[in-house]
Amino acid sequence: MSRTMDSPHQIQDICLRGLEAISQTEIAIDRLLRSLCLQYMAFNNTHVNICSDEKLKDYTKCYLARIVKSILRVQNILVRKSYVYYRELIDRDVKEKVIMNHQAISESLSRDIFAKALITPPCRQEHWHRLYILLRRATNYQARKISLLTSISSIQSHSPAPPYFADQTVTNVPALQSLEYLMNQQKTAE
Amino acid sequence: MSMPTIPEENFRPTFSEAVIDLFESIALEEIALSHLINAEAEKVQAFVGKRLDFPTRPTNGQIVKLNQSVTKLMDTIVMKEWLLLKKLENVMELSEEIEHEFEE
Repeated sequence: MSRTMDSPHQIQDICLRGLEAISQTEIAIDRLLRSLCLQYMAFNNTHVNICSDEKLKDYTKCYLARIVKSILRVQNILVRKSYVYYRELIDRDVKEKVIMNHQAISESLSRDIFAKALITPPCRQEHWHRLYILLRRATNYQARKISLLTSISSIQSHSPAPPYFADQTVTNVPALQSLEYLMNQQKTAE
Repeated sequence: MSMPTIPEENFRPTFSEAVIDLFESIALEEIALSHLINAEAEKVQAFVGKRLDFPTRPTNGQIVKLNQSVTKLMDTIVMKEWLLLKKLENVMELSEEIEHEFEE
C-alpha cells in the first residue's frame, strides 16, 4: 500500500486492514472460548479423579467466569473500534452495505449486563448454568460478528475472503457445539 | 545528562505518511494481541488434553495457577485494547485534519 493519503480509496484500504485485524482477534477469542469450554467439559468428566474435588471446581468456575467477563470487555472495545472504522467507511458511500449490520453490533453492548450477573459468588448448579448461558451468548455473538466482518471485508475488497476465514464456518462455531453436546449429556444424565 | 534527540535521517515522513504509519501500527498491534490470545487458547487446550483428562496430571494448585495466568493476560489485553481504541480515535481526528487540508 502506498504511504500517501491522496484518495478516498486509500483511507478505505486502511480501515479494511483495521477491520481485518479486529476479525483476527475475534477468531482468536473464539478459540479461547472453545478451550474454556473444553475445560468446563473436563470438570464434568467423571473419569478424571481431579474433578471430584468440589472446592477446586468452585475455584475453576470463578476463574472461568472472570475470564469470560474479560473476554466480553475486549469484545465490547472491539465493537467500538469497529464503529470508528465503519463510520469512516459509511462516510465514503458504502452505507448500504454496512448499516444493516449495525443493529447486531449495538445488541452486543447489552452483553455487559450478563457479565455483571456473574460477579455473584458461586452457588453450585445455578452458577454453572449461568456460566453456560454466558458462554452461549458470547459464542452466538462471535458467530454474528465473524459473519459480519467476513461479509464486509469481502464486499469491500471485491475479493474472496481472507485466508484466515478459510477454516471458519460461521453457522458452526465449535465452542457452541461443545456446549450443546455438554448440555445434551447433562440432560441424559438427569 | 543530556536530553534524548532523534537522529538525523535522509528521509523524514510527511504528516500524511506518519498518519498512515500510525493506522498501520494500530492494525499490527491488534494482530499481535490476537496472536497472544490464540497462544493462550492453545495453552489451555494442551493443558486440558484432547481426551479432557489433564494429561500432565496437574495438582490442584497448578490448575488454579493456569486459570490465574489466563485471567491476568486477559485483563492486560483489556487495558491494551482500551489504549488502542483511544489511539485509533486520535489518529482518526488527525486524518480528518488532512482531509480538510486537501479540500482547502
